[in-house]
Amino acid sequence: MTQEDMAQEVKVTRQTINAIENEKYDPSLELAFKFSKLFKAKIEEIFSYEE
Amino acid sequence: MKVSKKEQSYTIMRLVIAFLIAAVIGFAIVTRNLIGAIIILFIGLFLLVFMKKRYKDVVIADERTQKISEKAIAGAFWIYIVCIVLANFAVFFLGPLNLEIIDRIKPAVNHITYTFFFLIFLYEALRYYYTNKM
Repeated sequence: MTQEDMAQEVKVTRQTINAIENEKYDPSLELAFKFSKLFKAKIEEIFSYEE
Repeated sequence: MKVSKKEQSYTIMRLVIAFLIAAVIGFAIVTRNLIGAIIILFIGLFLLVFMKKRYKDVVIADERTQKISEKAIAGAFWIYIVCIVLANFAVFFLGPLNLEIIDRIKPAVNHITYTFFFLIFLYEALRYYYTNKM
């Protein structure tokens, strides 16, 4: 799946997907849930939280 | 970074429309044709809405772009405040020296200071509104 496809699926710009991948931007909870639904995985399996 | 053709054409079309509207409105204002400017403004708005419907699947704004805008606006707001404070200090402290430049910029500084107070009022009103909403 390309960044473009992923962006279209979760209704964000491709630049946002790129920023998330490069750890420049932390997605909102809503967007995290969209990724969770898209990948059929739990949020903790997609994202990790560091204090 | 690869940009899709559709996204690229949408961006170019939006920019072209925005520049054309700005140019025509500028011309209409210079030639004192206010009705023409208003008509062009509405035509431009109609075109932009039409484009948005046509390129429905192209996402140009999302939560990240919104956050970027918020940060940029906040930054611009504070820079504006600092500039106005500095300008007022300059007018206040250099005023007694009777410099020609101070006399010339004083009305402009007063004017932007009034708009600044209006901006602060709007900011507080909207902050109150959103505080109650969220």
